[in-house]
Amino acid sequence: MALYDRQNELPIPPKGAEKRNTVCQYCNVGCGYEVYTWPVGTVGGTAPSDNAFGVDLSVPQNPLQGLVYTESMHSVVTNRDGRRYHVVIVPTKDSAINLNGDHSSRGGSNAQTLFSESRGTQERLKYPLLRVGDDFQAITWDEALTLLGRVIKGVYDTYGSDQLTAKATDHGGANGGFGNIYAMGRLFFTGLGMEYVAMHNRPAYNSEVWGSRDRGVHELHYTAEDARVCDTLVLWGANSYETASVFYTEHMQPNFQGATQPDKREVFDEGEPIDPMRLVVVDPRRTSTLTIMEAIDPDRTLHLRPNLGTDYVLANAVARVIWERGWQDQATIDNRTDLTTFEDYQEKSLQLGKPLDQLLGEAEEITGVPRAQIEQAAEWIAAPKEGGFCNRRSLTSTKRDDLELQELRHHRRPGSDGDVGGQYRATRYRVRTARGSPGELCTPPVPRQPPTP
Amino acid sequence: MKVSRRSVLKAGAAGAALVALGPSFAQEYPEDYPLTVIGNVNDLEVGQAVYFTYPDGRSQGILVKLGKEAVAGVGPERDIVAYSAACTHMGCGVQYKNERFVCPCHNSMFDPAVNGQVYQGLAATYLPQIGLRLNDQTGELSAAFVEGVIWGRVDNVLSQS
Repeated sequence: MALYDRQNELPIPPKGAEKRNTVCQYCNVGCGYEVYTWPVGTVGGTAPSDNAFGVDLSVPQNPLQGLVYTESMHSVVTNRDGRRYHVVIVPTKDSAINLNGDHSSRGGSNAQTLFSESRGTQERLKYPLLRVGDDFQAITWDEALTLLGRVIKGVYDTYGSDQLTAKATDHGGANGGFGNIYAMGRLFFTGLGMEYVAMHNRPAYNSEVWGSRDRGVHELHYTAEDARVCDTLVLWGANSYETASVFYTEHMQPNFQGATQPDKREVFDEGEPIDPMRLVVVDPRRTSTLTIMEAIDPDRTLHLRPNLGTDYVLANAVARVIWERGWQDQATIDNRTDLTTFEDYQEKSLQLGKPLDQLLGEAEEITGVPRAQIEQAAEWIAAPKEGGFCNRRSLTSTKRDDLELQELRHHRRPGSDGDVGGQYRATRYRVRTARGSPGELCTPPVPRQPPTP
Repeated sequence: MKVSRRSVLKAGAAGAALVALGPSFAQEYPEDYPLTVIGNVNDLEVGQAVYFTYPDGRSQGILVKLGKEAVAGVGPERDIVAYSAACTHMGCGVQYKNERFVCPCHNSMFDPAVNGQVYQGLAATYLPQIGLRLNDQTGELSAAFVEGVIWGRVDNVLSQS
């Protein structure tokens, strides 16, 4: 009656089963997992000394604390030696990311993605298929690559490189990022000289989050520490509960619930207030992340619902309010940017030539977000804390980033620690150094005079 | 090391190949489970969940009359279903709210009408559904077996050691 194959028991990895550590193959949260493999035909016992977990399996595990091992974490595969092996992939208890063995529905299914003749994976293609008439015919890889190469070269020779295009995954194909498809990028861009490549789910070689990326917030930026200690978390088009689940459940939500105060005490400066975290969600939808946080404390959540495609305007308006109130972190601007395009930023993004009332009125009309909410978001994000301490904020756009630095990202001095190693490493220092040097107070609020036109 | 108890008992010599493959391939036999009376259809109200234990005192189950037909539902309306109450994510007890099971720990949600399917959250497997037997004369409901591994166990039926 079950809608899919269910089990009544799970194979126990015997003592001596091979154990390896790994990182989840799915999202960029990077949860830790343990992989156990052993030959089919043997199983371990329930006594701690009889199984590779070293856990007493004769009794049920305690919720949240016990060993996490469920049906979807087991598979049987045929190895290169032709023998069949059990594979068990369970969340580790020894990770600073997925604390307590937490895992998402994705990571909890890591084992299920291994190829096995006994499951749905048997339908995966093992050989390239060539369409001949109305049928697909299996061909060898050599034949497929030869055919592909000849078609590409034929088009290239006859029509030129601009008539070739590719749709591909990308993390570094254009030599940015971490270069995990470096060779493919070199083939497309250098070897074939393609003019047009579209990546991931996107129509072009672009961001899926223009409103924030174009202002300098790049995706894939985050640290768990930031989420644990920030005063204000901004989710700009991100539904982290669903898309970075463990990041949310183990770091964001605990901060919102006040459970990360020890982390804050360790990082915060002497006398710096530890305030309850606030959440700003920018999304036309009521996401599950929002509704869960609202259920915990509606007074510390703010939901901005911009009309589709207008968050760009919204971001400029929020930044302008921060500027008007003098809440920007001047020490960071001075110490971490070269200010070469700062005037351009003031003119085009902050639009200082336009009176504040006019700008906010236009923003309200375009985005549909009430002016009061724009101002409240600015306050939650940037108003100094009691005692003049800077508000520590963390911003996520599909992933997350720091609002202040995202605005300033374009202006960061090459070679400063933010730029070394590209975007990935640049995020590690966000909250801790988002304010000048340790012990420095946030710049006191100084209302700015409207610039003369 | 030992070979799985149930596989040996049930698969026997003819099933040696199945034993070798482990539980993924072994035929499972519901008769390993106890038949336990867990309630009476006449006591159930639509939308009011009832907790019980099955297959032993250390495993909580949740019984509910949904008011709409459900996969493997019993009763005249085929709307009575039972599940392990242990969330398949990390074992917390699920609660019945607005036609769904909700886990208070990480907000996973399961659909009682569709075999315990996960439709939100971190759980990777459906909630194990508990097979029900209904006595037409008395209205007595009994739990007969479990489909799916109860969270926190390597064997739904604990060893008697």
